[in-house]
Amino acid sequence: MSSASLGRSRPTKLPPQLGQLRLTLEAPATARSGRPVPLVFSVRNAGKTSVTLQLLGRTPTADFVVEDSAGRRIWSLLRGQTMLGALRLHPLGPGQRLEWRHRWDQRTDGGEPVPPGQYLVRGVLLTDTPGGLSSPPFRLLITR
Amino acid sequence: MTRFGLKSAAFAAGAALILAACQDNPDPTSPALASSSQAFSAQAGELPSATEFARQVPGFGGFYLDASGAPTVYLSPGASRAAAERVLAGYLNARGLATAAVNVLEARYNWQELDRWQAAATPAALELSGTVFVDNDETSNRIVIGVEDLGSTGQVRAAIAQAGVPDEAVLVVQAAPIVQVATLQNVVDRPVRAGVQINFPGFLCSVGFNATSGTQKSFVTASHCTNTQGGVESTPYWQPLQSVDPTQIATEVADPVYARHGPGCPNGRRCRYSDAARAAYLNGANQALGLIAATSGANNGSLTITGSFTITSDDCNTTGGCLAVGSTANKVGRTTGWTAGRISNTCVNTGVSGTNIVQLCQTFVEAGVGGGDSGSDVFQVTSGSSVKLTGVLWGGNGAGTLFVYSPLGNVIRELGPLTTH
Repeated sequence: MSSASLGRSRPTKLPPQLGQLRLTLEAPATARSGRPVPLVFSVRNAGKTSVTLQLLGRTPTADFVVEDSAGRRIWSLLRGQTMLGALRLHPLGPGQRLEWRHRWDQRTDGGEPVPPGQYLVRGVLLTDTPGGLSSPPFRLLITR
Repeated sequence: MTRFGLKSAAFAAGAALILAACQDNPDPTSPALASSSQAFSAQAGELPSATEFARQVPGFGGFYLDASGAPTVYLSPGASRAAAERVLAGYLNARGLATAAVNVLEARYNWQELDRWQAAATPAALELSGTVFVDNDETSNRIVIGVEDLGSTGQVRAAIAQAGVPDEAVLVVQAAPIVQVATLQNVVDRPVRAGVQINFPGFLCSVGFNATSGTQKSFVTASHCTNTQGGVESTPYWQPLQSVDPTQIATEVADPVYARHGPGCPNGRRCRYSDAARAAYLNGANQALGLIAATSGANNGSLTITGSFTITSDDCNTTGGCLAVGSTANKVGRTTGWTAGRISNTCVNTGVSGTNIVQLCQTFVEAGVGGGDSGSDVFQVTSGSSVKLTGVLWGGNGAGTLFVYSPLGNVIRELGPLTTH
């Protein structure tokens, strides 16, 4: 299994001081229908200097988002949640990382099981930037 | 069949979202997981930097796009045009331009010389009052020094000659002084208006509204914009940042604790009617009672302060407030500025993500919000710049399209009577 199956990565515009961040979404490339899918989203400072992140809320928070093959958002972890609106100044030293994990139960926001097929999964770091900082999409195949 | 082999402990937390401090573990994830990783870098087809140009093109003296958009390069006599075309190939190709489109002008000085002279001229020129800028100017192949008054030209030229910069390599031009744009995030606002940025240890929020309690001059912000949400810890505040102005402006003095088992509070939860706290100014003269910083318009993304709103009335003193669903509410906050939208829900008992807190009887507004807007003033425009104060913003949805505020009646219920204008 390798990142060779990745597709549709698109550039993400970041302020220059955040250019040394690496946003990564890890997941199995395939999963059997109905089985929970482990997701790992990490943000790493790959630079040689410390970066101060401006993170939404009292504690660093990330969202996980799943889109179907037509690009429709079908599930997100934080949908319907009300978040505190403070901005946390979070220093991230060289080589340091933040990580969030979740098991997606292959259900939509409405609770319906998703059918087998291709899905795109992203991790989103909630910051003061509208929409947050998103990892590139990870292509997940759900099989029967 | 799934194709991953995770260690069972790694995901034992089930559906919980976990923040792990993995700073001592460079790669905590299973190698069986594939990854989608984004590194951020310049785009192909963009212009090389001047430094890169100078490294690859001997005799390079500057590059710019002329008024018609044509790539224009300064080269010393005898320098190779082909080398410049090679460096620009990606940029030209990306725009469907031929190498013949490149204009070449004769350079008198090379870029490294100009760079060195700019560094030497900068302290010498900027030490003189009225100097606005010192530029290694790509369009003239000279060092250009901007001054407010051309009468100072002789003084400037003498100073930079002392610094070793040849007089003929310098142009002195008249320039208007550069003033920093005051935004909700960077303004040192004295007296302090509602809507501007405040800083307490490790966090940024917004000033809600100025208020006097008894004779104590204060401002109101969100309760979670204190060291601990609920309870008074004498949180110190700076504006806009401690690093910008290290003089503390205020100290938290009122922030009721979140109670269990109160009326309407679900089992196992802690509740309040407002996410609001009050901080007393250390210098009462810093309070701009009744004023809210204003930007140029609602929902236009601007953070530049262009004036002030004046609070001329308050919403009713009733829990839940007196604004109807469908009416419009506004806020000004340090992250998304002035936003306005329709009230979609009133008196909503609202669980706060990631906590056991429930805020009772809150109002939802379909308008933009972002991290750092917490504490913002919420108001209705009554006429012109006159507004009715309606509450304090404390949260929103993850998409930033809906904000939640505590109505003024809820704030007064918990913080006591307040004079707001």
